Amino acid sequence: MKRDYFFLALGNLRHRGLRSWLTILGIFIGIAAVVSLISLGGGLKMAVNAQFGLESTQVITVQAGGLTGYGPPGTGVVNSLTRQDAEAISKLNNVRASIPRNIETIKLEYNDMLVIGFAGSIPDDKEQRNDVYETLGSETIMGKLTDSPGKIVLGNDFSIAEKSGFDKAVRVGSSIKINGKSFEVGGILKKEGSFIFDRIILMMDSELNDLIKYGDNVDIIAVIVKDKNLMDETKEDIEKLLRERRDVKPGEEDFEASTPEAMMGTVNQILLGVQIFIVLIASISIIVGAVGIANTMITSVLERKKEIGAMKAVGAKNSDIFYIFLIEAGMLGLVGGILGAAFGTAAGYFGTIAINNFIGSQISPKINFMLIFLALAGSFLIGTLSGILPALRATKLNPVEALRG
Amino acid sequence: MIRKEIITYSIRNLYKRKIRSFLTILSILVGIAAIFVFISFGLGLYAYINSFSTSTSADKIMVMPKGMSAPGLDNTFAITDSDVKVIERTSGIYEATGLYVQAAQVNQHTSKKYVFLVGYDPKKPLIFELANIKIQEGRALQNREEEKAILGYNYLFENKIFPKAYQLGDNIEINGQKVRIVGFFESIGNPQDDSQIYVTNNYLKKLYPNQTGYAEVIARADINNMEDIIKRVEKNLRNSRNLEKGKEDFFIASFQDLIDQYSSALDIVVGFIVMIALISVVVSAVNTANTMITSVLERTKEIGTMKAVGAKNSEILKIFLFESAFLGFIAGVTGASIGFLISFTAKQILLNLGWGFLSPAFPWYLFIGAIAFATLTGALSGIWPAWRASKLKTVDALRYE
Repeated sequence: MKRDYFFLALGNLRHRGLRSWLTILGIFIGIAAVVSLISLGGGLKMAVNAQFGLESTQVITVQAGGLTGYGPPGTGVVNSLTRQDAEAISKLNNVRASIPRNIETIKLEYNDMLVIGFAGSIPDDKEQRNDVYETLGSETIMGKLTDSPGKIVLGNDFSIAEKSGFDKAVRVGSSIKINGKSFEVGGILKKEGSFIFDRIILMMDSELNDLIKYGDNVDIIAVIVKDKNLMDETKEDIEKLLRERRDVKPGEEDFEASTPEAMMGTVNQILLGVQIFIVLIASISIIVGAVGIANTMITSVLERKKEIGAMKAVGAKNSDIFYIFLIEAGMLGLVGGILGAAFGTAAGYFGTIAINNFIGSQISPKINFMLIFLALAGSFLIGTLSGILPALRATKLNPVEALRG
Repeated sequence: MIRKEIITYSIRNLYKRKIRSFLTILSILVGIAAIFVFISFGLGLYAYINSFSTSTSADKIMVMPKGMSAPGLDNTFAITDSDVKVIERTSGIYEATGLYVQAAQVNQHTSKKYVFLVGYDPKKPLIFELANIKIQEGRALQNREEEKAILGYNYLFENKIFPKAYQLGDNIEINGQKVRIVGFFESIGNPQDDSQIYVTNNYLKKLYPNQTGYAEVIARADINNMEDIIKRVEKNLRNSRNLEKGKEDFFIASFQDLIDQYSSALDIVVGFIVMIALISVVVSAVNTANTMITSVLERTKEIGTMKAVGAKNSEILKIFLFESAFLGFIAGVTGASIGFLISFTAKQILLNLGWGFLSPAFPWYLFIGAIAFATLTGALSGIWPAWRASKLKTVDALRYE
């Protein structure tokens, strides 16, 4: 019996070809827009997370409070953290290493051209240095990571003439001027697909300090923990220690210790907010498509008055009539949804590749099956919902009057 | 011309198919209302940005150090007093003054906030001419005055920045120092600017002994010659800072150029959002076409009769075109009205939140534009069905069941 409904519905839809297709087109456009925007948003989110290198899961970052978000870590800070803070943290339980780092704006000169960039400090101590390289996942594609004074490592962009900003690729062994002082390029980092890490300059802490003179102030303390499972406890220990050192009460901290999840959380929350806003606007078109389905179905009921009368006369129950029209409406939604999900997924897939080309990220485009399923279920549901009212109207028809037309 | 007869006939037809007409109108008006809301907010933002470009800001030139962060928070390429002197001595420049910007920690009992602290020279308050900000209560700072501050508008209210409101004469704790409040500024309309604190240049240097450079230098220039003056300032600064051409560590722009940059960034955002909202109008156009096609089918016999008694093809075309355009028109009027109500309500809510800069604008051409656009959408979706109706063969149409 249920199968009959489907075949009846399908037959009727085919019978009114043009009108059915136009109705489906409406839902198709809406679903395609929403699906492609959600898949693109997913790709963009991965791209953004990659920019900040937030993959490392066993590092707690400690920053001083201030107007953060107006530049690299350490900018807009009121009361800086110090090298001594980092050393005190290193003595806590479950802390393998506590590494003070500075990120500074610098002036690079090469090929008689000037570029403003930023340099990150790498500890002079060999063991700490290796820890930093390991947590950053730094690898060179040419040369070696910085291991001796006078040598620096450059992000991948500098090795490509068009991206370097110097109109000429920087090579291992070249000499480059930073804030007026010459350094030898010891290595080029592998491509990260991040506008931060592909443009960074890594140099020895003592040498960067010579150029900028930040003294004992540090921008960020990277705390590497021994046991990942004790992350939250370690974070609390750090907070307690710094409260004592900086003489602040609980709840009045002028610093922030964040786990990787927390750092990703803030960025992702903003992205999610933007995405929800855009998808909501795009969803308006699905609503409009639903109105289209309702409209088509109402017309359909009117046109088939006689038919409904005949069906009732030969014993069709009200519920039979109701299901026929409901399923017809659902089919309109579902077909629109199938086409829309296919088109939207393709648009998201190729859009992600376009994002890769555009910002140089390396996100592998994914097909989100959950999203496709939700789009199909959703479009069927929307179709049925918009069909309820017309279907109810159809059941209320009096067979005698309906037969008379 | 469309005759009165056609109009009354069409409207009667639409009225006869009430529910279908209503649903068609509904589908167009949803999109029109959404677009109305976004454009009204976009126009409001343009107006807000442009409110900064006034007669007192048109003659201003800004010089800023290059860097990776917000101006002032990064001291790598310090612009110093000697640079200000070089700028001021350039011909065509009347006066120039440096501005410090720092992050400050402000405490009220147990609550703590980080805000921008701006240090300016009370002898040359060019910053206030620039943004056209006026003091609402109290007075301006006097030359070299210390431990005194003017606060942004939002400090006047409780629970906006701090639980308790501040008054003239109160002390406010900035980086642990007690500073007396001598004035409050008018509302600028966004939470960041309305929470800024202004002190004198020399007091800021006392609070931040390491401060080496200005966040920006504002100069007043001969308004008739801005481009040449900008080039001259650039050249003089390059020479005094000993930099080669193309290797500047600072950049110069007129204030108007900066505003234009903001406007073009806004173009992209508003354009993108309106584009997405437009998708729903496309869907509604498909719906309208659908309604009209059904309408033509249903009235095939009627069309045949009309033709048989002498109606011309062009008249049939006009009837159906008018019908779909009229659906669009009604949707435009209701859509613009609903959009207006939404924007207006949102405006009140945002104003209470201190987001006064997000205030929609409702110029007359927005209403006319929305209605015209909806009518056009209706008319365009009606073209094909109307053309089909006009091309029906009289004999076939009469026979149609």
